[in-house]
Amino acid sequence: MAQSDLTDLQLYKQGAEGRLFTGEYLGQKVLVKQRFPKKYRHPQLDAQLSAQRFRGEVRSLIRCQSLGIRTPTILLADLDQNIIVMEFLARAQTCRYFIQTLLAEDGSEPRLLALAQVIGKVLALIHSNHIIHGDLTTSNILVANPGAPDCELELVLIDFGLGFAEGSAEDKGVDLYVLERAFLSTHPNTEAIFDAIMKAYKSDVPQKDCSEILKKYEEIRLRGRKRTMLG
Amino acid sequence: MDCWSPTIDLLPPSIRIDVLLLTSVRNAAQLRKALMESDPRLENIALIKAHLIIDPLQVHVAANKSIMADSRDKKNTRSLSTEVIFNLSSTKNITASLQTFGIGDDDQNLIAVIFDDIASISSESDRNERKNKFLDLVDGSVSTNMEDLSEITDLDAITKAHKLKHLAGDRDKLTRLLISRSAAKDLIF
Repeated sequence: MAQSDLTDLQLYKQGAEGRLFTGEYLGQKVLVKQRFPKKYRHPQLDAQLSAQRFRGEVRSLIRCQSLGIRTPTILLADLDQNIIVMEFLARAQTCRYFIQTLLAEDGSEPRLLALAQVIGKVLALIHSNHIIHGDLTTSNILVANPGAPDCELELVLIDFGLGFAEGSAEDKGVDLYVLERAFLSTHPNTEAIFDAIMKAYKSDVPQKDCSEILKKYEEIRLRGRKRTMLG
Repeated sequence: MDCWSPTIDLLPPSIRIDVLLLTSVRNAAQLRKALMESDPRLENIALIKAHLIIDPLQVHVAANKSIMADSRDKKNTRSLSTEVIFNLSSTKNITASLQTFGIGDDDQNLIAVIFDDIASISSESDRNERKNKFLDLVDGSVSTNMEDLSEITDLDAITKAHKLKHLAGDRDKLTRLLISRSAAKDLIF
């Protein structure tokens, strides 16, 4: 007998844009993400924008999966109610927590560098396929198997709420810049680790795109994320 | 804060499903013919090639998606039983979906999804009666233990049907991807 209902809903996190619930669906522990309608926007504009974001999120999650990158399995995506029901990753740890734990330990450098290597590789792979995450922070990158040996660490990318496919070199540069800012402000004095991420990224991104992305990235670093609107 | 409160209505409570695994089926051609002729005993029953299904969860996800679309009159196909097959495929082409994933004349292993509208079939015994009438048509064995599916699943055929040869070596990744695709069928193809 199929149990088709979503049960045991409990508020998990309340954000500015939406809410996360935990619950059970089809016998699986799930996370339910629901975005609010924004009342300060014109209803039609709001509907259009949220539909666009919703599609962007679902598409980039699934495109990552077809590239072999782990993202939460989607069990139901319903545009009408703006909800995504997805796999609850009980064993995963945020990269943020993982890094902070390691930083507090002696001799953890090789493991941190191994992690940096994996992060760089995963970002290179999504960017090579023109997927933009949009909000890369160490809280939006999970370590699926925090207990695994250095060379087997697997990441899960979450929260593609600002994500989309078909990104330009500029978008990729912004993605890297957002990560740099988030990374260095969350984890002070870790420039060496961030450099290792960039090094792995550069060696994996196709050569022809690499120089353009890096050029944009340097430009963005000088001017900030937004394009100047002067003149 | 504000008075907006979440209401999450996943499914109209009026439709329930049964998922069965049929093995050693000897009369697939006859079943397919009955389906084409709209035999009332097969009404709202989907017959799916079992070897192309990687995990029972994919079927449940696709079935729920179909029920939801049906409740809003937003189905892509004519019936619940074709909609679930459409949701299992990786194409927008309905005919191709049905041909690839729906029952074929030589199939020996099938998954049957029985949709019951409990507004019209309310009691458990009526549902059972309907199920038994359907099963009388099947020359084969029935199993409700979906775990048997893992031995029937043909990974090569699946990667070919979904054009995902590069993921052939990783069953878990393939499973997660195919479940996600069924769950978001209307948004990604």
